Amino acid sequence: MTASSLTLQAEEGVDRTARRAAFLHRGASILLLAVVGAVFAFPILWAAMSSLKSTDDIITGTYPLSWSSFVPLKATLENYVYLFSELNFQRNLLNTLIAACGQVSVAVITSSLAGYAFARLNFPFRDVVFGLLLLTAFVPVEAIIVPLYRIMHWFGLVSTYPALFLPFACNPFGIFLMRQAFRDIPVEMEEAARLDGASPLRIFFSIALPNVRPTLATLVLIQFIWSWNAYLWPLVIMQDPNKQIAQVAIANLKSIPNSPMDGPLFAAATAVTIPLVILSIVLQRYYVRGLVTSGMK
Amino acid sequence: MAQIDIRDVRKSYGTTAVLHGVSIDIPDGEFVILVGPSGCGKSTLLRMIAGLETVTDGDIQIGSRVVNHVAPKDRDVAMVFQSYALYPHMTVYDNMAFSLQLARIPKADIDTRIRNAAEMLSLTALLQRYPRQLSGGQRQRVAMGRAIVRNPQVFLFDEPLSNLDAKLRVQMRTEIKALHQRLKTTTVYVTHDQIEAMTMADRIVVMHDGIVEQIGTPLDLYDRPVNLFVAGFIGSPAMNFLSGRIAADGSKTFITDDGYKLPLKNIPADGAGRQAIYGIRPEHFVLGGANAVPLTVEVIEPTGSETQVFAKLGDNNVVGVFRERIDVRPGQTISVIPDLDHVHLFDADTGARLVARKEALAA
Ligand SMILES: Nc1ncnc2c1ncn2[C@@H]1O[C@H](COP(=O)(O)OP(=O)(O)OP(=O)(O)O)[C@@H](O)[C@H]1O
Ligand SMILES: [Mg+2]
Repeated sequence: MTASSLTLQAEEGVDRTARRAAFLHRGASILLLAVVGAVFAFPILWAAMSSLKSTDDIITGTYPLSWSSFVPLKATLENYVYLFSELNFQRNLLNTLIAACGQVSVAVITSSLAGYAFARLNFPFRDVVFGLLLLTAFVPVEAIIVPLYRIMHWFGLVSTYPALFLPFACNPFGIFLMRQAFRDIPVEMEEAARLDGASPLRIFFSIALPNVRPTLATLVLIQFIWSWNAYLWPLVIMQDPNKQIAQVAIANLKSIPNSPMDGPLFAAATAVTIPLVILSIVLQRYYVRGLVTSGMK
Repeated sequence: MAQIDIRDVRKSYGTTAVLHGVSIDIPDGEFVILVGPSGCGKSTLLRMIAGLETVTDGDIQIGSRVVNHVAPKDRDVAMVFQSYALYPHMTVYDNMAFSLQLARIPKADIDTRIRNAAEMLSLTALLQRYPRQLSGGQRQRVAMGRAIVRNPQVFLFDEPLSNLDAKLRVQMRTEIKALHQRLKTTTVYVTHDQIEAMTMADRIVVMHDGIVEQIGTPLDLYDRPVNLFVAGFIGSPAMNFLSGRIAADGSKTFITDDGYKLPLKNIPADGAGRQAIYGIRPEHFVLGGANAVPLTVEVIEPTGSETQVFAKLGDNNVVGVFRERIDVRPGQTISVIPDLDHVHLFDADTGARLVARKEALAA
């Protein structure tokens, strides 16, 4: 064997170990992600599976745990039929959708306008006001629920749709998110638009907004999910059962005395989750990008 | 089209004064270049003309009206930014159409104007592309197209070529110049590249620390810099400066601090015996001859067309540029004399140009 072929072989050896290390690293990452994913997905899948079983099956299958606790051996759609024909659950879903859409539209409008003002306009105490605004993010709804209720009452809005989302129109997280996004737009681009004859409002709509679309998508998704999952406030402010949202309706299923509703409960939980999953998948591309870029200068 | 009058304009940010009284008259149709080192206030002045910065004091007049308090969009100026500042979410066509749509110009007119501009800038094939799909040079052209379609009274450029590679820069230089010759729109152009300034400008404004050092045609500045700053700033390689004094006996001689004698063509009025700075450009040394001074060569850089020699005259660093091919090695000496017609003298204290009697008469 000549010297050169020796070194060649040695190099190949090095190459092979490096490749094996990379392979192992990748394998480990995938495994870890799979485990985490499974932990998160399991309860949802279990609920979805259970929604295809009759209430009796669910109750008897819970103890002791066995194969049939998880897999519907006698799959049935009776829960869904009951849910949508007897309980009129579509009504609640629609209410949730109305609340979520209201929340999203109001939050998008206020967050983008306020975020733009904090990013681009100069006014006295701008940064102080912004700081105070961020502080309100740390006040939980529970802490202000009584005064909030009284204010809604005063406006005569109790048990109306707007009451579900109006109190959360000004959203510190959304404003922060949009402000960061607007700050990342080069100032020169807006100056060019000014010279081109655009008014501030025109610049906002034609130049600034289109360039923060990923962040807007993030905002839409976050607000939608937040509103979709809201429970306490709707429970308090919505006293008209016809306008009640799905989450509260689901909770009510649990509290009917002497009549177990586990089957419809799981069906409702599944029905309420599906739209979120779809929305997340559709917006995922923007969602990740929006969150990642919002931190960078 | 319009002339621009800048009268004693000042600018401060809070207590920091950036421009200390700048006056420039720009006749209609002229191509004026602002040059100066980084931070001297070129962009600030340009942005004040555009209306993007307020005027602290003084007047800026475009055409027949003072525009100090006129909004940018009503000044009828178009600006090309260093970063181009294209709208990333619009096609090339829409980038150019934006201002025209805002001005409510009929669609057909907009289309004609854009096609004409695109033709002029070889952008026709790219009109439906987005900025991210263009090369640096093409983006630069779109930025110019956006300015041209508006047919403004004034073009403003802020270092438009500094993001391009050297070759493209030279090409765009020519194109911008040609464009100006065609459109004859009054233009203010900022750069810190003095070659760009020399090759493109009708007149150059040399700025330094917020004041105007000199305004003149490129050759004016090259031949008759009014002070040491301009003399050192214009020309590449830079002018050589030797400190010393004019001979006291009235002979036309300059004596450097370390005793070398250099010839003068004329002596400035009451110049005899005076402390001064002797300025001579690298290309104005002549090889050999009587009364030559010895340069000790340190580095030689032949470029083919000429040879640059970095050398020492006594304690002073001196650069010479020669058309001839000279055959020396580092450490050897060459004898040179300054070309008498191209010697500059500056006051040792103020740095102001000392006018020779003859020059003063000619002026
Ligand atoms: N908004 C501002 N606040 C305070 N100082 C500023 C501001 N803008 C510019 N300056 C200062 O004004 C001076 C001139 O800035 P300007 O941008 O006009 O320089 P320039 O000549 O264009 O330099 P360059 O060649 O680097 O672009 C600089 O010292 C800069 O620090
Ligand atoms: Mg600048």
